[in-house]
Amino acid sequence: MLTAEEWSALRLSFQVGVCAVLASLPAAVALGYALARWKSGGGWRLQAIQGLLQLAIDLPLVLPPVVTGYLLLLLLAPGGPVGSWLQSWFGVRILFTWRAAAVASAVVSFPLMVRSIRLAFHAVDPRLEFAARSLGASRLDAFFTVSLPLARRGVVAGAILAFARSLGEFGATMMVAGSIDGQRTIPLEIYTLVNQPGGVETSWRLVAISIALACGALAASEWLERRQSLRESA
Amino acid sequence: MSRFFRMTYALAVLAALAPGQTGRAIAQPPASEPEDLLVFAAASTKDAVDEVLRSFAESRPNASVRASYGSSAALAQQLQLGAEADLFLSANQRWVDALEEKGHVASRHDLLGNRLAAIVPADSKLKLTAPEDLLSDRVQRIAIGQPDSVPAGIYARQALTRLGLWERLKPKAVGSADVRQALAFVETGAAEAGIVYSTDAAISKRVKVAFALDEKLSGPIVYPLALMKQARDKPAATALYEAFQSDKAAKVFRRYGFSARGLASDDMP
Repeated sequence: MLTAEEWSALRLSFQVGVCAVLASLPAAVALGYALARWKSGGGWRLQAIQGLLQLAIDLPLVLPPVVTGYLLLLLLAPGGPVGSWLQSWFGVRILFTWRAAAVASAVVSFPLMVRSIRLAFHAVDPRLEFAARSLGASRLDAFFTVSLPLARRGVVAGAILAFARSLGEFGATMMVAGSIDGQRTIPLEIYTLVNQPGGVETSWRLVAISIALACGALAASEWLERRQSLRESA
Repeated sequence: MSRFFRMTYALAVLAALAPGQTGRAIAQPPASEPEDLLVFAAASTKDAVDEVLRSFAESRPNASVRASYGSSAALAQQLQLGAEADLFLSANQRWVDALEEKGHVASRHDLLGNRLAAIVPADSKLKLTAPEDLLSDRVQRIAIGQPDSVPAGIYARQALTRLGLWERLKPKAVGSADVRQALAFVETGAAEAGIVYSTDAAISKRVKVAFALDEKLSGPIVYPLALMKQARDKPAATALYEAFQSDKAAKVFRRYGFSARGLASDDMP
């Protein structure tokens, strides 16, 4: 049904998407929670830090992906600040491997995940946490037994949205992962096919798969978020 | 850039989903102003083409010429979908052949020639003097254009194949979306070496040429200029088509490192 290249692209896209989401989920939950619970008062310093943090998180959402990719390329290059560190400490080279695609996907989809998670925590009534704390739960206990379970649908919705964004990531991925046989995600494979004469016709299966995956992920994330807000209003 | 490609692709997908409709769906309205010209040109020719167009505009004051630069593949896809460009300067023959087969081309002329060069970052201490040196373990990544679609990559693969090195170098090869991205891979040190056009190597201060690849290896690198069918009856388009082949334009292209094929005096090997 699918050619070897198409299967390989599909498998790699899932691998990249799952790794990107799993690797960034803990940080996204922590940041989403912090941003949701951050008091709007506080000194101007706190406000400035909060603003800058939000800006840094949201930047990849609006930055041209090629620019994000170029910045990642500079960071991860063997002579770059992160690349040289990884090379000397772990002897790993990230650029032009599937891991680079995962890094690019994680960075680009991170704002979407944090946004959704922040909204989910925002909707959890802080008084429930206070109640748990007053009954003797530690801060961590209250978070893991009260807040996180209540916000779980929003968290999962954010993760699915980020996964969908990862599947579609092209610009930054092309910059850091390159186009290597057997190492192309779905968008990269489509791009390669389309840039050959007659490629529009040969790429239709991957195009159809992309559309189906995107629709499925969007529907799932929408459904979960709706359930979340329904439960709150109930 | 990527948004541009995505848009191009969205158009391509629409066309694929509605076969037979595309020709009419994106029908070309009759040009209201015959002196308005649109030129599509390969990204690697931008600086030189800009200069040629400027001098054409001076000699023909009531012509207004716009140019769109991009990867030859993306531009050709747009043309296949009915983009109303009058001239197309492509980095390889294949796309112009494909357009010609579909009857979009009125006339064509092999305008420019180029060469491949192996490059390393300007501060690199690697000693690369011959293609075999690319096999060294100190070269972990070689940036080239995507070897199935990007013309510079197709030529690079051809040269390495003729040298009998491609199979061994293939695992190190990193494809890029266009030749300028391969240049960026080497500029940043992300790849220890790369193969690009000598004209691209010349515009960057952050890379140096390690060795040139002979045209006997890469095959002739030819940039055909096509006069599109819809521009046949536009006098200004024909005039520009000829201006590109003039001695004056050839001088400009040579200054940027191209070999201008239009002239008998310029012998290509």
